Amino acid sequence: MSPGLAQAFVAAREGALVGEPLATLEERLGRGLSTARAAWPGVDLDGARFATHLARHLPADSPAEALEALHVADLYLACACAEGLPLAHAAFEARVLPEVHVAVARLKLPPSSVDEVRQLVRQKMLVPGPETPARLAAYPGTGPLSGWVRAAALWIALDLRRQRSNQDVSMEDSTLSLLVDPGDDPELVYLKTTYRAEFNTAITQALANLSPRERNTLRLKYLDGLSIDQLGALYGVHRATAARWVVAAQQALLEETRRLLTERLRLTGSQLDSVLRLISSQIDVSLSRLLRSRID
Amino acid sequence: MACLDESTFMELMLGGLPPERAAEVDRHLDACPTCRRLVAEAVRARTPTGLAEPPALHSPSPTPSVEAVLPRGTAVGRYLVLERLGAGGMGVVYSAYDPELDRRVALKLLRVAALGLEAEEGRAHLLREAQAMARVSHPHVVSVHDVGSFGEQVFLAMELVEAQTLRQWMRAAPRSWREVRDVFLDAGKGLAAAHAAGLVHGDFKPENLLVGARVRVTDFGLAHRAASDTRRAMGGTPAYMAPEQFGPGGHADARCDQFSFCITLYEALYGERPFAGDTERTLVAEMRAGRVRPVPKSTDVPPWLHRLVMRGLEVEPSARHPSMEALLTALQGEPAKRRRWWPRLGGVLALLLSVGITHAVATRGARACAGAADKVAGIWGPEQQRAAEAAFLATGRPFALEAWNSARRTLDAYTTAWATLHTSVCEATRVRGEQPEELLGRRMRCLDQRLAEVAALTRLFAQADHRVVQYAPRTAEQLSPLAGCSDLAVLEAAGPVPEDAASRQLTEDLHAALMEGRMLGAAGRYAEGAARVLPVAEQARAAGNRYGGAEAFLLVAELRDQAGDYRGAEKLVQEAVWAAEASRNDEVAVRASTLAVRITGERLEKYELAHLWQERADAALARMGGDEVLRARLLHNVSRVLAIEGRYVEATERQRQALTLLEKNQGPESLAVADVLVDLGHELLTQGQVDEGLIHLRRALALRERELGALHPDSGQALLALSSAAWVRRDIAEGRRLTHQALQVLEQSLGPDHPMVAYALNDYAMHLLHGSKNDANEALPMMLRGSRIIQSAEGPDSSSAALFTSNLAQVEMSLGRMAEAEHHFREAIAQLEAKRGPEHVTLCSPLHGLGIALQSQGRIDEALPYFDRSVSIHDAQPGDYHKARADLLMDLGNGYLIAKRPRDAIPPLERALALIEKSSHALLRQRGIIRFRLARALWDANEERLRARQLITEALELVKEDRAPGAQKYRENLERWLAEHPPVVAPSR
Repeated sequence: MSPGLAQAFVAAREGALVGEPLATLEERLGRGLSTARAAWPGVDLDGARFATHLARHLPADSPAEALEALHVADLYLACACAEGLPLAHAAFEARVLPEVHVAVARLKLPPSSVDEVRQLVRQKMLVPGPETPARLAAYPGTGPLSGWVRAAALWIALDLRRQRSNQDVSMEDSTLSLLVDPGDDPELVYLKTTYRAEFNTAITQALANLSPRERNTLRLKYLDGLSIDQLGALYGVHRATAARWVVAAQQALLEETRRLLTERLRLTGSQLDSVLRLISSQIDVSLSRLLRSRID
Repeated sequence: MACLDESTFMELMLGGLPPERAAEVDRHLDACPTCRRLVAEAVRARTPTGLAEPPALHSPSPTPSVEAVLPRGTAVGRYLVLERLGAGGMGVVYSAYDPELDRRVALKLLRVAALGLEAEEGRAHLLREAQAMARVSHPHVVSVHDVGSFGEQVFLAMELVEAQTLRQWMRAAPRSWREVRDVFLDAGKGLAAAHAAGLVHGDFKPENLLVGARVRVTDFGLAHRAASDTRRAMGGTPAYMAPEQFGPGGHADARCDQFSFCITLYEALYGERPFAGDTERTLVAEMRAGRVRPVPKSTDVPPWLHRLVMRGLEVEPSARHPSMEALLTALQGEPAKRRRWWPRLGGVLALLLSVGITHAVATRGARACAGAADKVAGIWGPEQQRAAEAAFLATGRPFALEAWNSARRTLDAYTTAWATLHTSVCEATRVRGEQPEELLGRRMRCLDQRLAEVAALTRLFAQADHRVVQYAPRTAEQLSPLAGCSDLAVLEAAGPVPEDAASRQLTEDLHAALMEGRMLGAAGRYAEGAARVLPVAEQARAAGNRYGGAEAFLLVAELRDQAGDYRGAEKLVQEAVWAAEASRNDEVAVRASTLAVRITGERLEKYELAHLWQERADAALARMGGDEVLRARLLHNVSRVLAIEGRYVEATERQRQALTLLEKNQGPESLAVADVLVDLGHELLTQGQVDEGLIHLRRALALRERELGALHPDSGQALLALSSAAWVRRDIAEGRRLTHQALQVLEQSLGPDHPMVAYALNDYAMHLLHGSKNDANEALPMMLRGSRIIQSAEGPDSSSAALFTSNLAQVEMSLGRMAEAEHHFREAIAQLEAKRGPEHVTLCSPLHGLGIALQSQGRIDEALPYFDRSVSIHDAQPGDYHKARADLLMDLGNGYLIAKRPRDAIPPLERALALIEKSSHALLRQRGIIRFRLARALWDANEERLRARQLITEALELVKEDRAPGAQKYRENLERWLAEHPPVVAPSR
């Protein structure tokens, strides 16, 4: 056990309290260090440097106890890599870099691009800039290193692709107006052709009146084809909640369209009702068609 | 904000984005389609949800790979891996546990790569195929419960079958041709069922036939996707494939399955495969040449069976049996010996027919969808409506006709909407072909359930008694919304339809019980309803179906609450919340916690507990992303508890929020809005905000009278609420009129022993107290009767009973029975202190009353502390509770005057005067009395004697025109005082 882990830790905290006696802290850090070293045999990072690294990744207002929640072994490897230890680089290469393939597997990149992404990740993670340390030094240790690297790889891959393509996106929201598409219903088609301008204005206006999240939910689901589960994962909520959001947004769109149409069309109550009933019964049929046309 | 940068992206993906940043990101994604696409793509590319985070690097297991054995406890979808059962060319099979349905399943992880397909595409194919398999439900096919993806792989959750493969079965013992034939008859039926559903097996072989208690075919429809060379790589010679499956472009169809079936059957009958050949080339050559090995000499297989198998092995597909059904018919043996199996194949037969007449259906599609109106007519047709109307009117309730009309309107609208939706959903599949049959199926099931609710309701209406009639308009409003049936996302969120018959049956039982329970509740048969639903709820719990169980427990809790069994209801509502939270059934969690607020806070008067339930409800609401109607209901219940606690300001604030939400969501004319208006109006009155309270109460009354009829008990209740406005304004005549009317309506509609009648009796009696002595005589039996009703309905220890006791004492006091009054006031005070604590605002009235009773018995020194305490409790209120402050202050001052402590009397009397002068509702008489009392206090204390005379002069001026009896005497009193206290006495100081 390296002596002075606690001193190094306290020094790096620049006076922030650790909330426990030095001996306890020393023992805690020692335990973390041996766990980490056992996970990466041969990677021999100086104990005090590691303690300093840990201190920097612990928020100033957290007690030393919070160290237990961190992925210490992963932090150890990240720190050793940032310090430029060759064996650490080798371990990273062997055990972490394969995550890049996992991350980008579904992007259907050509093999050459996968290699490019892998090279970019390697370079970014391991090689320090003129002013900045290697990116791995910033790995926070709150989740596993593998997940962190996968997210970074995904970013690099998508960013690369974004730079190389020029998508025309100007018209896409008009597709959402298909949500109130008349389909093949002759009565609705009639109404829609008769009141085309009003319909379009109402829908556009209704979309604009939704909240950003409502619009995003609809687009992510219906334009980008995310499943309810994926939506839930993106927003960190349960699938049932995500489903509710979608329903609520749909309903809001429908109701707003209904309100605006009522204002504009000056239909009698029953006429309007029949139009709207048709629209509501139509809405998800249009959605599935919209969805299908995107998959085909 | 600018486009997403790396660190924001990472936080978004790793879930570390604080809410305010998340909102910012939302705004940016809204404006920037490029970033939004990027995020969507990242989400899609990422490991799907349901996959446990791969083990951290320092854990002993290496980076998970397809081949690695999953450790016990790994989550695959919702399943937990138990142990590895085996592996084949297609993937690995594990036994696993399904915590949601508490059962073991076989989990098959399929390798996309093994099928030689490009990853994403292959996965999509596999998923589609697997979903198709999941639709085949047949006793001789292993059921697929669920399908999903796990990283790169696709998994199938299947029935876990304890059985041998056909190969093991054949090796275990010598089998007669009849035994073999029977096994293949069953297997063939499974295969035929799949064919009828449009599914091809593609890899029928001894390993895929399980022989146990039942014969079952497994591994449908997956392998034939694989290119033949991949398949070879996967496991030996493709000895069971049909010749046309080899080579480029080879694919499987039903005739290939027949060929494979016959090779397998041949092998089972003769112990060896029909075609010789060790390599693919020689094997295919033998097949194409039709060179079947000679039959072993020792065989007893009958020639007809041999011929049948040989026909299935024809190289030319068209030369084989026309279908599996034809083959199976032949397999029965000679016609004379055939066992009848067609009837059992009814489902298959029907499916075949429907395939056969697809064309006819398509052309007649529009008419096929036209049956919705007929369906409705069979359930809510003229005949049913006449029966219901007759039943309603036969109850003889004064509000029966209105209730009937209101319920009929609601049902008419509902069934019209149902028919429209039914037709358009049907046409989307049958006529326009826009939605898959599976979606149609889900929607139709949903619609059928809704119509079943209507049917149950019409049955109930046809046997309506007075309770059914009373609640009919509300019951009709509570039919499940139709929107749920058309909404993809809602249907999707409900999860997969259980595939096996047993769990589907359980779900249907549960649904039926819930519906019956609701109807029994609507008929006021609460105990019966609770008894019907409780066993099903417990059954669901035992089966591990907490999602559905939560709903059932909630319903039982509701029914018990309505039956007045509050403690029983409390226990079950807890059960419902636990089940709902455990199964993430957030909607039920909100509804159950909301009910718990009412039960604990309002019924059982455990306020702190009620607020804890409120927090639970809030949390569940936040989890489900909010729901305005549910929030409004919660606010309404919480507000009622706050009002009971005397926290009126907070209570009104919540009622106002609830009102806004309900007006927006249910419409300003709905009965739910009227309910909130009554409570809000009442709470405003108690705070002395009379004008606004009056507006809400009048609106509530008008709403209820229009929707339910003027003779409906709810209208009676609104009348009663309105009467308290008259009370607060001291408009006794109007109050008497309203309470009397309310009493009549409520007694007629609810019968003489209903608690609502007791409240009406109380309010009427209190108004009578302001009349003559005769009126007070009339009030006494009313109060006694009201008190009795309440004691038996809410318990002798309830706060309501205490309030009745206090009011009974008021009546006794006005009849001069001071000792009895004192006793009853003391009883009420003790009871309220015990129930609601010593500071509760409802104590003001009995404390004040006790003071008066003691004072009237000449015990002024005993009385003073009670007057004082009633004033200080009242002072602690944020508003002028019941506009009683001036009265309490006046009586406190008067007490001091009687006790000859004029100096102490001045401050309360000054405050009372100020209040009365400000009030627009104070009676003339009251304005005179306060002046008289203050004047006496000032004079006796020898303070401002000039002002004292001035006050008396003002008082005289006020009653100058008063012609009421007693006014003359009052004037004389004042004049005498002026005479006896002449201004000649110089003011002090």
